[in-house]
Amino acid sequence: MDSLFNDAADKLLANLCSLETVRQVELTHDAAAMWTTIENSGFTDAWVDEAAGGAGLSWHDTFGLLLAAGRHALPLPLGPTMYVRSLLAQTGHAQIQGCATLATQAIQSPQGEVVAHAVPFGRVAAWVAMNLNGKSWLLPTTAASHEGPAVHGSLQSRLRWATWPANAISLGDVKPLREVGAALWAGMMAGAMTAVLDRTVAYANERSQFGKSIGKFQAIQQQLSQMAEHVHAVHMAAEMAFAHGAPASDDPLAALAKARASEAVSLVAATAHGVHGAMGTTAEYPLHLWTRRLHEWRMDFGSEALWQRLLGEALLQESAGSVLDFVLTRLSIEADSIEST
Amino acid sequence: MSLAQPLSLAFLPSHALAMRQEVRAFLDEHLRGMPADRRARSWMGFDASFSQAMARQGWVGVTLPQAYGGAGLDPFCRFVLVEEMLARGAPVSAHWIADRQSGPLIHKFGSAVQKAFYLPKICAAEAFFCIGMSEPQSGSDLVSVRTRAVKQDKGWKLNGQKLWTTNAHRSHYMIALVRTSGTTDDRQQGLSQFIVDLSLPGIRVRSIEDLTGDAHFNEVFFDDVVLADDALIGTEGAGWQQVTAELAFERSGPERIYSSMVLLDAWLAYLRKSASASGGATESQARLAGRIVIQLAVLRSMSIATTSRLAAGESPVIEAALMKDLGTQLEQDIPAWIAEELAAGDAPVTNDELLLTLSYVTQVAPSYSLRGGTREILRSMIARGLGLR
Repeated sequence: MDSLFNDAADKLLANLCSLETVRQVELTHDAAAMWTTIENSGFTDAWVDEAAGGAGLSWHDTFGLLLAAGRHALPLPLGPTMYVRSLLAQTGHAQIQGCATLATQAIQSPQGEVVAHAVPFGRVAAWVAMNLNGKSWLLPTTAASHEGPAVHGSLQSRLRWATWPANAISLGDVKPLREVGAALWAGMMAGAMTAVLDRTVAYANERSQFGKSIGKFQAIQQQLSQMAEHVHAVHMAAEMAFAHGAPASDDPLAALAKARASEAVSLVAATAHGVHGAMGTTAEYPLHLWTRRLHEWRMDFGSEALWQRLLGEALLQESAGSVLDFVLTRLSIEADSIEST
Repeated sequence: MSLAQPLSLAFLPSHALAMRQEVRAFLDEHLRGMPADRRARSWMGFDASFSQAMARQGWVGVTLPQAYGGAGLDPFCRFVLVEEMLARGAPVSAHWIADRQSGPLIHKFGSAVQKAFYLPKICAAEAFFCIGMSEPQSGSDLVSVRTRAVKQDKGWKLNGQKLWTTNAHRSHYMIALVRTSGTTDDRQQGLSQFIVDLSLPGIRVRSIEDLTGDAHFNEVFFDDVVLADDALIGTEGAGWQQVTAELAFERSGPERIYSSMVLLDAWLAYLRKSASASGGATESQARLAGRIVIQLAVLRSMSIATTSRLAAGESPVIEAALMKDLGTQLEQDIPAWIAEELAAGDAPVTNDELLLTLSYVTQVAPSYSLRGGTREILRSMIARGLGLR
């Protein structure tokens, strides 16, 4: 990892994402000022080649940025935009204005209408990347209508384009958007879970009952320890998915990361809320900024059920060989396999 | 701290990776024809001749210096060796404790004479060790041990009793934690470690049969056992600090993720065979296989990261505890999940080797999270590491 880059990204996002600002964006869906600051920072072109004016960094170098996006509850699709901008640079397109998100469930009707379901960050993104009819496309959200579900505080949206937008951009052949989303989301989820753990440990030390802080009770300690174990595991799983660069189609490490991150969501969120008591369910206390995201992100790009099944099928299709062989060939990172810059 | 220092990706160096083929060839030869339900015993599988064959390869005491007959290899080489041994279910029990705990302990705290005497025997798989920690009234609360060594004009006199001592009935030596001064009220103070020659007069070993019909652990009684001065290992009164260091070795490494691997491989082989007959595995079988392999691969990366911190001279006590708790949970989940899947359909399971392996692993699985520190103790350590107060 590039610690200079990641520290700078963390600082920028920490400054931008005050709790008040994040709440504001969630309620107004207006993140224009926040995005302008991020765009001006240059972080958006981290994965664009140096020859094309970017920083030419690898995914692994910049893993810390996705962690920071999750930890600070950034209400914008920074990772997806970085990916889309690297695609645009590769295909020789001019860069877009505004941020882009990814959709994996987009359908075009015979009449030409396009519907993208459950688009994460759909309320604040300017563009949506999707695969349609064997090609990959970037569609502007200005030409789409938002259909809901209007979940309180959520940035997710179902988007409908009644007619094909004139300024749609072709990204060429189908891109592995589901795998890319899975890896990016695993990084954000690891960051969000870290924030939840930190906050919950701090709360357990502050909150006093029966004359002592509740963090002194073994029942609480056991739960928080178990939660920490899962957060550490998710962090490792997410870093594994960033080791080899942008995921390919059927990428086993993207599958691993999203499955492991999604699998931990219920335990991490439930433990955090349990320890916080009723306070954690109020609008005023910020725990929900992360737990709402974690529950949504668990489902985005497929839950653990999807990715476990896909990887399990790959394992069962091996005609011979042990589980360890499968782990060594598909799910292990060697020093010389790290994507270098 | 929380995640201030999360485990970051680390790598096995190429010289360690290069060992793998050699280890596999050795195992192919020595495990040929051994049924899965026997291999599933792995580090409870006692086979002195297997241990001696490993010693001839230089693989017992791999991290000990060559001067003592060790291989002088780093923890990464040990990782690959142990990973291959455990994943295949090699019967490593005879030399296991000496290799991973007693040898490193003697190397770290022993005198020159002790090192010269014991380490070559360990590396040749001629001296097998057991660990005398638990007692009838001392389990997780280890500092309450009552077995006592009293200083004599020459040497020490040992009286008391140890319990759950794995392999005491077939080991040459025990490293025992006993009280040498004060009382149990002094807690960590006044404890010392001794290397007890189990052939001495006054020692009685009684085996305890376990629920699978095996007998690996024992009661050991000490009745006025006379120990020489040089039976004391390390410093008198520093036994607790030495044991803590010893348990850090015990909790790290790949030992805590592979106990149910033989069962897992047997189940997958069974699935592949029956799936090809019935036109494919069910969605639920595939999902379970994926769930297990994903958790396993993540734990393995965490284990390599912990090993790399150990190799760098750090003492990742909390990380090792955290990994062990997660790892043993998976080891215990595997037999429970496989049992659920195996009996989910209408067709009877007729593969006896698989059924024997499943029932063995199911029955011993509770011990996975007992040996080397219970789940509750580990979680208390993690809680302190998290800064809960």
